This record gives sequence, C-alpha cells and structure tokens, in this order.
Amino acid sequence: MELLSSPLFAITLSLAAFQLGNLLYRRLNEFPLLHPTVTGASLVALLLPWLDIDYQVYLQGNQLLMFWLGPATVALAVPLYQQLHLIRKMALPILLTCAFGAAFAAGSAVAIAYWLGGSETTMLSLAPKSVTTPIAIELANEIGGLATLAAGCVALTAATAMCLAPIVFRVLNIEDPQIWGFCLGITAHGMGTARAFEMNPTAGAFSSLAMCLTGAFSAALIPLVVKLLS
Amino acid sequence: MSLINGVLILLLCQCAGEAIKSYFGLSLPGPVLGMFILFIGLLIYQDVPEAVAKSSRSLIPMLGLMFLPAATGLFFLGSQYSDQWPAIIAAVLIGSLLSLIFNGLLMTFLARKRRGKS
Repeated sequence: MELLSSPLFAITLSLAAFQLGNLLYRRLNEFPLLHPTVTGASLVALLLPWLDIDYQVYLQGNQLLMFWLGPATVALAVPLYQQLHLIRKMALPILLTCAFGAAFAAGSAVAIAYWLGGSETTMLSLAPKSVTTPIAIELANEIGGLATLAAGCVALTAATAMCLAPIVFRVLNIEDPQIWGFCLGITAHGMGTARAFEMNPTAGAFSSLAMCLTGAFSAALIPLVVKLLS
Repeated sequence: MSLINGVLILLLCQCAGEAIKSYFGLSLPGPVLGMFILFIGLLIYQDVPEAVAKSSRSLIPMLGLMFLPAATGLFFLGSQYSDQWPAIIAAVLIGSLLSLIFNGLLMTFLARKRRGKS
C-alpha cells in the first residue's frame, strides 16, 4: 500500500494522534501524566506495527512537520523579548539555578546509572539527558556516548519531566509562572517549553531561557568533567 | 501577507544562525543561534513587528505536536540496549524527579532572597 508509507499519511497520523490525545487530555481536566505529546506518541507507537509501517519510514515522512521546529525555536525570541523586564530582575537566580541545575541533572543521572550497574556507554549517553536534542547529540559524540541512545534519553527525560512537573510543583507549592517555567525548561528542555507555553507566555519565556542556558552550560561543562574523570 | 513576512524573517534568522554555526564550528544548534540573532534584532528595533509576532503566535503553540514523531521513537529504541534499560529508566525517572525538586527549591530560595532585597 503506497499511501501508508507516504509523508501525507505519516503527518496525518501525527496530527490525528495528537488531537485524540488533546481530546483525552481536556476530558480528564488536563491530567499531567496524559499530555497529548505523550499519549499521541504512544498511540502512534501502537498503530505503526499494526499498520506494518516501519518507524524510520514514519519519521522520514514527518520531516516536513519537524522542519518547523527550527523556525519555532527562532520564534522563542519574541516572548523572551516581551518578558525581558522580568528576566532582568531575576538575572542572578536564573544564572545560579541554571549552572547548579545543569550539573545536578547530569550528575544525578550518571550516579543512579552507575549505582544500578549501567555500562560506561550508558552513563555517557545519559549525561546530556537534560540538554536540548541537537546539543545532546553533539555532546554524546564528543564524550563517547551513543547518539541514538542519548537522543532517546533526552526524549524520555522530556516526556517524564513534562508530566511530573505540574505534580511536583503542586506539592512544593510553586505557583509563580516564572519559577514554574524556568524549572521546567532546565529539566525538560523543548517539550517542557511547549508545556510551559500552555500555562502562559511568562512561563514559556522563562522555560525557553532555561533551555538555552542549560544547553550552553552543559556543552561547556560536561566534556570537561568527563575529561577529568577518565 | 504579514504571516509570510514573519515566517521569512524567522527563516532568515535561522539561515544566519546555521551560517555562523558552520563558519565558527560551534556546537550550538543553528535555530538557537537564530533565536539570539532575532532577539538582538528586537532589542535594536525596540519593538516586535506585527509580522514577527503573528508568525511566533502561530508556531509556538504547535511545539508539542512537532515533538511527537521524535517522542514516538522511544518505543522503537528496541533490544540493542535491553540489558541497560533498568539503569536508564531509573536514572531518567528518579533523576528527573530529583532535578525538578532541586531546581524548584533552589530557584524559590534565590528568588525569595532577591525579592527580599528589593
């Protein structure tokens, strides 16, 4: 069947799954663990083997959709500029939290994997887990991890943190959209930023900023630490 | 008309970002550099042109959808790392939870200190 392996079908499937996920999400009062990116992806993963479509074919077919991640990332400059007055006020907490947060995210993941007997490759692929995908892949290559595994760890981290964050912040009583968005951006990078914009533009801007700073800090810090340890 | 203008500006910034990345051999992604370029542009212009605002309003809400194909890949990482999955899943789950708590508490503490001063 020609249609099933076409980009047309692949993108239609993505949109349909996402909107079904959205419907479910709204029905259940936006229950955090069932964010449409996660439920939609699970639905596609169930359907692909059933329709006998190879995941790589589906991913290739979605290139056109994923192309817009680039311009959408550039567009994040707009909310960032609009929230500049708030960001200026919080400059020091932002920089400090980002530096410590980036180190903590990488360190805690590697420590837990080490403790559970993960291989060296696993640990090196886990180190960039809280860094946005393109930077994480370059980092993994640089320090000797596996790019595919690193990309997987990044996506898994993003999905996990995006779903857990609203619950954790409710428990910690964090309601300030600045802090809410910022902490989401450090831990869950791109998907977290998407989620923060669903809350409000302030949370989104702070999340974008956290994502970029964490990426920059990690790109500088992780190779250095790996060199020192090996 | 203005939406096309806005998207054109975004694409031009991304092209400039990619050019800078390859020229200087940086490890920052082209779109992130493009974001910095647009940000500096907005600082100089001291306002957000309607076209750019419109394109940004159209694209940003779709971020969650754009991540869906890559997120689907999680289910197809497969058997090559099967012995490593327990360590990976534990590191991601527990690590992310600890990270969220650590960042939340640290940021709240620093923000409170900062506001206490002013």
